[in-house]
Amino acid sequence: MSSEVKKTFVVTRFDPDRDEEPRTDRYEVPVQPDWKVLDALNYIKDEIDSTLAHRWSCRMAVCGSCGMQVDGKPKLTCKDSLANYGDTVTVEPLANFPVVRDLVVEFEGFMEKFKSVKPWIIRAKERAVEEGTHRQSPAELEAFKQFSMCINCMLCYSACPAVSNEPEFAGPAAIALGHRYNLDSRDEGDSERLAAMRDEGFVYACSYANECSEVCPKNVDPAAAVNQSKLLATMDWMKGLVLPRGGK
Amino acid sequence: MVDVHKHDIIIVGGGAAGLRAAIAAVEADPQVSVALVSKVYPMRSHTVSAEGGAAAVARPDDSLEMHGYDTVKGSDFLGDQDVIEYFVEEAPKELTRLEHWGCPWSRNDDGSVATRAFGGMTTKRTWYASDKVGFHMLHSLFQHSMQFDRIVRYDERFVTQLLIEDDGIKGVSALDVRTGNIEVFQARAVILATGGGGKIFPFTTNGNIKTGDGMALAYRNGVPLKDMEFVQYHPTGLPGTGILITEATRGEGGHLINSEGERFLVAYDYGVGNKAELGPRDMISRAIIQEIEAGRGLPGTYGEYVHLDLRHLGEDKIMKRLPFVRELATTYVGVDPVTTPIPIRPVVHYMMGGVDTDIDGLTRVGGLFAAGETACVSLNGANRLGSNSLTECLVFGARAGQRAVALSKETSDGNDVALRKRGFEEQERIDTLRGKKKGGEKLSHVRREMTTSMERGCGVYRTQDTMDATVQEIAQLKGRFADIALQDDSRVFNTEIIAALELGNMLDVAEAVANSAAYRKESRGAHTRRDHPTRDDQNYLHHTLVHFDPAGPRIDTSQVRLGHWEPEERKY
Amino acid sequence: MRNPAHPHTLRPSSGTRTRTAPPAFPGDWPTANPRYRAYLLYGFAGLFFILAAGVMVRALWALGSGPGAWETFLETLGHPLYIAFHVGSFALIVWFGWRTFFQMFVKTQPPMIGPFPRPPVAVFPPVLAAAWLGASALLIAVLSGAIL
Repeated sequence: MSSEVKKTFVVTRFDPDRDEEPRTDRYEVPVQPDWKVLDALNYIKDEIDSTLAHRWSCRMAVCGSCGMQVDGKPKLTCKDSLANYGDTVTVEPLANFPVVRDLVVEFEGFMEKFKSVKPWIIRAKERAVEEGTHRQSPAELEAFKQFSMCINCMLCYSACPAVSNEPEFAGPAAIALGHRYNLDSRDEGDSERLAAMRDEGFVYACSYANECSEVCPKNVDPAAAVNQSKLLATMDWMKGLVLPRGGK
Repeated sequence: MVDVHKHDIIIVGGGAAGLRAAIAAVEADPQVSVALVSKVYPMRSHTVSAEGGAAAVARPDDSLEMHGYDTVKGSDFLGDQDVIEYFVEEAPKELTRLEHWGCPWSRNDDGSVATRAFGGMTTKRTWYASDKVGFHMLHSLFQHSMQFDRIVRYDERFVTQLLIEDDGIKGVSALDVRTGNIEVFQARAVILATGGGGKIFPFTTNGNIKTGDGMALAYRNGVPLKDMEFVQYHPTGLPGTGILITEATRGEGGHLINSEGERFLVAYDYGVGNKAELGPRDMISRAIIQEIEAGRGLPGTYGEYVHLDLRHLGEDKIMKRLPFVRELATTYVGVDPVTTPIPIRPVVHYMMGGVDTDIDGLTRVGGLFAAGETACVSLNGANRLGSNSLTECLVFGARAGQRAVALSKETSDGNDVALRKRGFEEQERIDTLRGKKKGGEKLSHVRREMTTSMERGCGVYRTQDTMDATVQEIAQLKGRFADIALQDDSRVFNTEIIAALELGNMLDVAEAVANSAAYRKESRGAHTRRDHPTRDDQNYLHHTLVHFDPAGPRIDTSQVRLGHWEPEERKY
Repeated sequence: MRNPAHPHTLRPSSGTRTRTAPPAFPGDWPTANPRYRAYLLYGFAGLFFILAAGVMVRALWALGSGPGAWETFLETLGHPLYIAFHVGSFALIVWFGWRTFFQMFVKTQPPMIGPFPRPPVAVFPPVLAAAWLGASALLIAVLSGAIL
């Protein structure tokens, strides 16, 4: 197409079998006006250098695979338009993660944090299918819906200054998920989760930079979840002091 | 050195069907050990992209009979009716279970689960969570599954081979993407739940991972693929990217408009009658193509399109029911549906066909199951109704999981030594392929030619000539694929070798689709031929089976299980 | 340019299965965006408040040491450096209060505040502004001797 322009991509490369530390490669890519950053990476992979490694799948901003640093900021590359950038675009792996290869980061550390908030419905007695669905009013749904919208793209972990300094911090996405279940009217596991959240650094390492909410591509507002969780975890602890059996 | 992991059951794929199967297995027997092997982290699975909803009878004005009939009619009478009856009966139970597991279904004011209208469905029976149903279902299932320690996840493992002995399957070998090592997974039952293969087409709603891996694995190992000619074009995809705009847009009252500003489904007779925009997908996709061919399309960079108009729904309803559609249209075509109609065209979305299974999901290889889009249990026949597939993943995922547990108790483990040896052989094959610099063909180019050929031969409208040409071209491309050069010789996270293995799978699936299509000389459901424009129950009221053979595929048929509902003319 | 993060950042508990490059964050932090600068200033404000508290301790000490010491202390407050410090502290505490209550406070409210559900976000700014004005008026009234 005639309207194409060329942009230079400076891409982080790291092959643990060869490279002591990450380096960069430069690629010149003919860019179409409607392209996202991911389109350029796929062009590089298909036409210029098939050794480039990056994760992607849905290319519609919902699978959460393709988070990277673009010009130093965490972005979902399938959603981030190239029109926002100049002639030279830097693409790096997400900040704050160990780097596996090129643009691929280590995800297992997050998966452990993810599981530590017990992200499932906890009930004293499981409801039988024959009893039908729970009643949940639109307002009760609204109370947690926003925090259920996280696609685990990890941009928030990349943006967070507490994540980079406090390894025991559970981090924005994981806490938002725990909070999502705490707020769900069908769930009865909040004191279990809040007890876990009182572990050292787990929620309290957050210093409320609010960057997680700034970079979230799905408007989950994890900063709100983290800070509400701090308060709820503390109140739950105080309740335990005043009413030793949890007020039951 | 090949690592060996021993479990009772292996599930390949971490989408809705795979996760539901895993949960069903540990529910059936808390002691059973399940390996969940997926080439991506489960939350990346393509279930995540489903938008509109999941069907199950929920309202007093609805009935299992009606859901059953709608599905049979939608399938153009090619669905197996015992399967459909089981499906509609289990559907409400499965969606209720998901509700108990935390799925944030949208609600009516009284707190009951809300339902919306969908194409080809008589009444409102599609459960929804705004317009991110697949996303919420997948995340609910995945998060629920994490509490079971007996479900052991192996993420980012690409299954390269089924390990089959005389009395059935005994495991799989998988490439650990992270290390480049082959691992052997041993079990007495294997469930394939790897989704469809929409990526054999250039213009598809499917994500990059939808490469038909499970279909190809089964196909190459003696299991025929069934009804592969039936490829569903979703009427409303964004031009260029193919991103899905959900059918819920029409369920909530959106209109399809041509360049004259007409609601063409009302203005012209396309067989959908009063249903108009609520007609089934195959008919509406054909109507759009005909509008464009009649000169009533709008010109665009990526070919002609028509408009999906949501303006009359108003901002409130769009934000409440269809917020994701607004996000997608704004981000990917720069159009805000509140003020401007969305450009759309039909786009490859779903494969009705798949691995031939019985109602339990069991294939003709002992212990080998398939569920979800990978499988053809024969629920969808020649055309799937929107919102039946998410429910299908749950209903038949669960059934496969339960049956796999039962079957794993009756069969014996495979031969350790022999399986390990197969693992070594696979490691050798992969090591030879990795960074195989010799070769004259470029992977991405072979892939592109495959997709172009498939669109030409197996598009919305088909003719014998174009299908035959595609059959030939795919056969040639398979030859050229053997000669591809691979540049990346690193072991760690080598995505090039994964792409090569995926392309091998896609070529097999493409072969199955093209050959099945060329065989069926009638028009039924999504298989529409210009040279045979009508349905021919006399000669083609049967399933197509395609068997793999190195010399070229072999076509065979099997009976459709009719019953309660007699075939009749399909008119809405 | 990348700065090293804590070496254990997002590391799996059993270590990584292949050799990884250590976690890092952008080298231009914290100058990269104005939000980081505001965040740092917000944290840094604590130092200022410690100094201000130090002045108060000194005032109390002077008060306890007799009228002469108190007079001397009051005189030193007239020093341009002290005035600059107090103007700066005042500006900072006003900004700090605004950021704390008008920017951060709203989001930190739990879904139930006591027995009441959290009000809509739009309710907070006017209520907070009214509370602030009321508290300021009360303070001025007390300081000016109008009441008490």
